[in-house]
Amino acid sequence: MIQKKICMFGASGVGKTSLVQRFVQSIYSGKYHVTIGVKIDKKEFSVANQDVNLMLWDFQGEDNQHKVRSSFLRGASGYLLVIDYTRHETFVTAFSIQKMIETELGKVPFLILLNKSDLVDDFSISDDEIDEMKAKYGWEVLKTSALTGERVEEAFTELTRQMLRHA
Amino acid sequence: MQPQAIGIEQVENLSDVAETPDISRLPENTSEFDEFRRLVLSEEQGKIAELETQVKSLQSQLDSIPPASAQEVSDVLPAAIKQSSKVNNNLSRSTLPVVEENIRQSVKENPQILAEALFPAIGPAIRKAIAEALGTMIQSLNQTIEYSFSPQSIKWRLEAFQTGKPFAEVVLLKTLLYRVEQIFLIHRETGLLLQHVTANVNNEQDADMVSAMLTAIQDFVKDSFMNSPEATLDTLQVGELAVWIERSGNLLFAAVIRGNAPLAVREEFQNAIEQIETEHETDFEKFEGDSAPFERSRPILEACLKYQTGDKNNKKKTLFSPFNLIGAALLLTICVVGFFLGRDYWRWSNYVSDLKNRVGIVVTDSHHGWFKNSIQGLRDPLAANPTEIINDYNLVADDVQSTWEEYQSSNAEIVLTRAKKILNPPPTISLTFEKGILIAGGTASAEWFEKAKQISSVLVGVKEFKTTQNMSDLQSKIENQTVNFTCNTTELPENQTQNIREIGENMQMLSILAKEAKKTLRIEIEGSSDLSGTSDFNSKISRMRAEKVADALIATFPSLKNTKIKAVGLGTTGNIGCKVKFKLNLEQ
Repeated sequence: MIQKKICMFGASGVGKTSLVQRFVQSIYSGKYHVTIGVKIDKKEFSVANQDVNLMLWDFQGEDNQHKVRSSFLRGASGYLLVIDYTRHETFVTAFSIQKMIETELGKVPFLILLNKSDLVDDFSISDDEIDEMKAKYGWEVLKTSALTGERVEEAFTELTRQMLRHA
Repeated sequence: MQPQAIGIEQVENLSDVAETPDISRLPENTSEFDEFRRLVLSEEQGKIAELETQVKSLQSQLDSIPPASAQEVSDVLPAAIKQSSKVNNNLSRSTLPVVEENIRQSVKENPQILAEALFPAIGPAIRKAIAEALGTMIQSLNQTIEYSFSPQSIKWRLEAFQTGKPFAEVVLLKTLLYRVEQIFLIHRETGLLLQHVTANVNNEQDADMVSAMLTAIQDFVKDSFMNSPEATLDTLQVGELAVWIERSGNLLFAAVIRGNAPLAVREEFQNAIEQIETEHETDFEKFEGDSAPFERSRPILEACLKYQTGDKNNKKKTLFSPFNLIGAALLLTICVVGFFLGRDYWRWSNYVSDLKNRVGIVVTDSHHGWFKNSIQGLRDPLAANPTEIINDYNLVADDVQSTWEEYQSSNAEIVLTRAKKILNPPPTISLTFEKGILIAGGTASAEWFEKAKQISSVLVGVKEFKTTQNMSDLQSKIENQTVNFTCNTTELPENQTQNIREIGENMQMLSILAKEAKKTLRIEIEGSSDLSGTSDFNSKISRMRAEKVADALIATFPSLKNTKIKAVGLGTTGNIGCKVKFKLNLEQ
C-alpha cells in the first residue's frame, strides 16, 4: 500500500475542514486545530488499481497562512488550495499562499478548489477571473461543495492520481 | 561479461540486416532503373556502407582482444557485484536459483559439510532458544503457583471478572515493572507510518494517524518551546504510559512503554533504529510512500517489545525505610494499646465472671467501656462485697460504676449464714440447712429452741425448723439422771446445780416437743432416802428433797410452770439412797 501525505490550505472559513469531513470519517476532534494547529485524518481508497493510504493534514484556518508551521508541511506529496467562492478576498490571498507553499515544498501536484459552489447567488468571483487564473498560471480548478458533496471525492481522487503520476 | 556478449550479438544481427537489402545483387534491368535506384536509395546505401565498415572495424577489434583471464574477472567481479546491488536487486534475483540449486546439491551429496558449517551459528541459537523456553516455563510455573492461591490472586481474579480482562493480563499488569507495548517506525520527513508492532495490547487508535499526529506533536513542541535546532522531544509521559522517541536520519522510532523502563532499553532502541537505517538506506532514497520494504524490519522491532515483571511491592524496599518505621511504630502502638485494652477486658471479664459465681450476688447487667466500666445487679448483704473483690482483679474501683440492690438470697449457704447470724445459737447447737429445712443439732435451752422456731418461720429460704432431739431420747435421758443429796439433809448441794440445769433444759425441750406433738407431759419427781431413819422421817425427807428439786427446776426454768410436775417422797419404798429421780409420762 502506498501512503501519501497531503495538506489542506486556504484562508480561514473557506471550508477546508468541511471538505475533509465530507471525504473521511474523522476520529480526532476539531480541538486539535486549536491545540497544536493541525488535525490529521486518514482515507484509504483505490486510484487506478493502486491502493492508497491518504494522510490528510488539515491546518488551523488563519487569514495569514504564513503562520502555518513549515515543519508541518514537510514531506507532503500534494495539496489542495481552497478558495471560498463567495468571498473574493480568499481568491486574492490564494496566490500568496500558493507561492509560500511552493517555496516550502517545491513543485508538487495541487488543485485549486472553489468551494461553496452551491451558493450560486453569492458568488463573488467572476468566471473571467477564474479563466484568467487558469490561463496565466495553468492551475487546475475544481468547483466543489462540502455541503452537497459535489466533486469533493473527485478532488481528492484527482490529486492522488496526479501525485502517483508525479512520483 | 554479459553486456559485452549481448553487444556482439546485436552487432552481428546488424551486419545481417545490412546484407539483406544489398541492392547491388539485384538483377540489372535498365539504366533508368539504376538511376532511379540511385536517386531513391543513395543515402541509405551510403549509410549501409558506413555501417558495414564500422562492423568490420569492431569485428577486427574484438578479434584482437585476448580472452579475459580469470585474474581480470576476479578483479572486477566484487566491484561489479557491489555496483549492481546498489542499483537494484537484479543480481540477487538472477543468482538466487543458482545458489538454491548449489545448496540443494551440496546437501544431497554430503549433508555433513553444511551441518558443520552451520553448527557454530545454529548450536548456540538452539541452546539459547531452549534455555529461554525453559526459563519462561519455570517463570510461568512460579507465577502460577505464586498467584493462584494467595488472597491477592483472589482480588485480581475479581478484578479480571469485573473488567472482563483475562486473568493472565491482570496479573501481568499488576506485576509489570515495565512493558514496551507498541512501537511505531515512522518516516521522519512525511510522518508516514512504515511499521507498527504491538505486544498483544488492545490498540484502539489507528496507527497511521497516531504516527502522523506524533510527528506533528514533535514539530509543534520543537517549534514552540525549544530554541536550539538540535533539541528534540525524547519523552512523552501520559499517566502510566511513556512514549520514548528515538531518531535517526530518516526515521522516528516511537515506543509506547507502560511502567518504568531502565535506560538500557533506550540504548537498545537506538541500536535497532541504526540497524534499520543501515539496512534500508536505499529504500529511503527512493521512498514514495510505499511501506512494503520495511516489512523486513519487523523482527528487529519485535525484539524491542521487551518487558520485565517482578513484585512491585518488594522493589526498593529497605528494612529501615520511613514507611517501614512508621508502620512498625504504628504496629507497636496498636500492639501496646491492644495489649492494655485486652488485659483490661480480660480482667473485667474475670471480675464479672467471679461475681456471677458468687453466692448472694446476681449480676443483671455489665458493660466494658473505653474508660469506664459499669455493673449492676442484686446483692444479699451477707454476700461478698463486690467493691473489695475489684482489688483482687487489679481494677481501679473508681473506674467501675457499681449499682447493687439489696435482696434476700435463698442460697443454702447464705440462708445458713443468715440463720446463724439471727438465731445466734449457743455453742452446743450446730445448725445445718438442707432442702429448705433448718436443722438444729445438739442441745440448747428450750427458750432458744422456742425462739429459733419462731424466727425461722420468717427466714427467707427456710421452710421448716427442726431439731435433732426426739421425745423418747429426752425422756430416757431425763429418767436416767439423778440428783444426789447429802444424807440426812434436804439442801440441794452446790455441785448439783449444773445437773439441775441440764435436767431442766431437757425437760423444757421435751415439753416443747410434746406440745408440738400435741401430747401432755407429766413429770413426777421422786425423792428417796437411805435406810438409816424411820419410815416417816424417810418419807418426809424424801418428799422434801423432791420438792426442793422441783422448786429449783421451776426457779431455773419458769416455763416449766406450765408443765404438770408432781413431787413425791418415796422414802425407802422406791430407790434406796439420798437422791431424787424422775419419772415422765406422755399422754395423748
